[in-house]
Amino acid sequence: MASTVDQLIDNSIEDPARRAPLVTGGLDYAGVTDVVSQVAESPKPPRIWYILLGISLLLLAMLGANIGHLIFTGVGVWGNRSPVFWGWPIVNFVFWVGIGHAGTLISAILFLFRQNWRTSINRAAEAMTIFAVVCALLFPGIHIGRVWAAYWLFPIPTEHLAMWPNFRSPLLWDVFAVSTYGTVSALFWFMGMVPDIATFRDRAKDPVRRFVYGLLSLGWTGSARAWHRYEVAYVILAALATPLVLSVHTIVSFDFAVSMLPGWHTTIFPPYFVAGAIFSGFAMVVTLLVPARELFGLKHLITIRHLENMNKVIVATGTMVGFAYGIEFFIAWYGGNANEGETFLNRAFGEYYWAYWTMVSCNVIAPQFFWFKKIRTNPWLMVIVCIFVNIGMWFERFVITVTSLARDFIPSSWGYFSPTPVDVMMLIGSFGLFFTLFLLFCRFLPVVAISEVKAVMPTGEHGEGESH
Amino acid sequence: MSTPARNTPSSERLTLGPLRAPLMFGGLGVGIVGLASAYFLAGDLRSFLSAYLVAFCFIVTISLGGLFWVTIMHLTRAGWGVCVRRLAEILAMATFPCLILFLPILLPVMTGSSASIYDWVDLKNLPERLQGFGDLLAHKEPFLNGPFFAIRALVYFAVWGGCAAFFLRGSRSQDESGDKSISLRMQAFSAPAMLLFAATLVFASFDWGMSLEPIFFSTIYPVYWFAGAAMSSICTMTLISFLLQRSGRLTDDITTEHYHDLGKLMFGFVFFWGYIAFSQYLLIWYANLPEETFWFEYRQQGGWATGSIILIVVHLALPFLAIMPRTLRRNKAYMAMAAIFLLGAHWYDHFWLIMPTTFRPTFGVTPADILCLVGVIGFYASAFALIAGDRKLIPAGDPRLYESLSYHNA
Repeated sequence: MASTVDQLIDNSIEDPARRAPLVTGGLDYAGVTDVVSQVAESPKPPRIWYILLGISLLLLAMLGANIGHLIFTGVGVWGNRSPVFWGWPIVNFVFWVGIGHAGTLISAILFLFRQNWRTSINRAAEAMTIFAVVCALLFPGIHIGRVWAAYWLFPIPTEHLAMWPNFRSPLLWDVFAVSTYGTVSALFWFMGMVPDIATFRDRAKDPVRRFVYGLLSLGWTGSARAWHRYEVAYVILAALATPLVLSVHTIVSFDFAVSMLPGWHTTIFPPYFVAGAIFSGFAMVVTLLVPARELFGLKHLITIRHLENMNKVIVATGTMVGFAYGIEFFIAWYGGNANEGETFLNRAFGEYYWAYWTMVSCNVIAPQFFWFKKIRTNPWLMVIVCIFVNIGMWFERFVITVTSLARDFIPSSWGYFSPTPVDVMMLIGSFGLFFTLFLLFCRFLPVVAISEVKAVMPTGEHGEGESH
Repeated sequence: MSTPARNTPSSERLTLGPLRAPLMFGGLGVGIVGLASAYFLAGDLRSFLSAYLVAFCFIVTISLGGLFWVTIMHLTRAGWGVCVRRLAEILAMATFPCLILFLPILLPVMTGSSASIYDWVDLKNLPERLQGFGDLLAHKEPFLNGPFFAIRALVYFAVWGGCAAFFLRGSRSQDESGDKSISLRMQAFSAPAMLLFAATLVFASFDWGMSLEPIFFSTIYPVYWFAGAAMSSICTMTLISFLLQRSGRLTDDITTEHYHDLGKLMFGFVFFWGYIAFSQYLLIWYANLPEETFWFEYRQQGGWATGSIILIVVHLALPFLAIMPRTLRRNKAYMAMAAIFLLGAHWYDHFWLIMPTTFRPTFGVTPADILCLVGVIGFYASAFALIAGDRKLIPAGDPRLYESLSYHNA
């Protein structure tokens, strides 16, 4: 029999002698199923959901219109001009790929590290990963100009195609890395959802719902054999996804770091990009889950403790990113390369100083507020900090991409990058795509991994069992 | 467990007991004999010091890894590793004796002696390969100079020793009292401790490793050092656990599950080291800038090409395959052997980092290298026994001890 936990308990209080409960509010096993299922089963979602979806769809429509404009007119509608040929599109690409990393970290690495608190947040985080990858893939896809030839990105052997992607280019490695990442993440997400979709199927009263969820649940029976295979597959996918957490952003960092451009070529880039990606990804998870738990009544599953733990990861990774900025600056001086030194001074005090200091304030200073327990356990304050983090991480990619390109080796070709309205609308529109997908996910799929949460609930008669 | 294990009185099972004196004095003896004979075999002070630096970096990174594991266990409120945390605490505490071991490296730098292994010490007498880089080295002089080098080193040791002492003392006082507020204090301190650890490790790696080739720079170098430190300390904890259990200590306290968990981390950091090493190599190779590639070029000539391939095999390829199977990771003797092998690889990693440019233009390992290593390990073992004293070898009062003892890898 499932046990209940005192409703009044504050599970963010630290007691080394016992593990804090991860489900509060007196929920038992059936209660967990009810809470998660009611999100999809309630006849009507909260009104705010419609409003948010409406805004997201509008932004999505704006994105679509801009993409149409771009395809019919050409990539000249962007602000990409000599010497900055990589402008906002690549900044947006790197930003969105980075956002995705938290999902994989939570679902794979935290699983291998036996972090039980991941169970309440992993499903939504994985969904976020996939939607972020969708947004990310959009930008290089439309950047190639002739989008109808986008499949040339892949090395597809054909006698009609006298072109073959350059295997020595990290841009091609990106194609492999991000598509592998997208595939494994989607598999992991979907496979993890099968038992919960089957729960939805079994509870469905409407035949259409029963049919659709039945189709998606792949004939899940819940037998011991099915569970056994599920768990084996889960470990294997987690182990496969773990190196992907490192590899994807490592290869994205190679896009810059293999070159010999000052400010781009530095060996710390791979781990520093990965840390930054996890940093921004967690900030996005917090930004999404704080409103979601309010909106859908998930406060007893996604508790303050879960949010607090994520905020701790944010301050840790944010500090790593800050360290990397510091090391880069130190080595730019220590290395004694005049171009490198000049590039870094230019970043901080040159014409893009505003972008640099926005980045430092948002990425290094903002997360330091999470040293205070009051701030990291207050849902709305943490959302404010996390939004700053996301702004900062977008600016980081802007600073890296644009400042180095704007001042290349020949002073006569130096220039200043200015985005066009299309650039701006596409960035905002990509959020429309992201939020549309996320809002639909919240409404129609299990937002919390029901079966996994139950596995970390206490099982003893008095709720005193072990929680691992 | 072997027969002596069963014969050990239960009162001694949690301490070094009678093992302590032989370890302390034996280690000291091995240390003195090893280092003295290495010195005579090496011929001159400079070549002795180069071999000595390899051994020193090997040892100090193990200690730093110990400090890292203690700190991260508190930071993450880890339950699994409580049973082996005291070993990490002792390793971390051994940064104090490492300060004494550091003196032979520091003194020539301080006195500006020609025996110093750091070429930036005397800008007027630069070796041939650095001729023409005088201006660059003069640019770095505000950082690379004897007094500042010494001050930084003292700061590092003060930080490491201070953090290690805080954790070891706290944990030991908890042995007696079982007071869980001590855990809370250690957890609270672990976050700033991690910041201090990271900052000092970064600059220690620049100072002691990277500045040997004063015109080389690589921002990932500290992460490379860290990867080796985290891996080697896990190996040391595994090996010490095994040796203690063979001599009848901690027989009921460190279980197969702990070996399995340590093995997973060992595997993870073998892979992480490979990732970092590959990232550094690929980026430098690809950009092909002479100011960086020369560093790898030294590691590809005079037989060092073979030496570099050996490093990839022993530090990545072989252990990656060897400790991947779950059944093997649950075999204590096998994991102890893997730990010895990887510790060898870790020593070789520092050998590869330090030797090629000036000290050993032609690849080869000399008896002096090995004797230096043996000597420094002797001193380290002696320090371990001294720090361990007759106190408990597990944090007996930790509120998460039960969790650590009872966990089973499903």
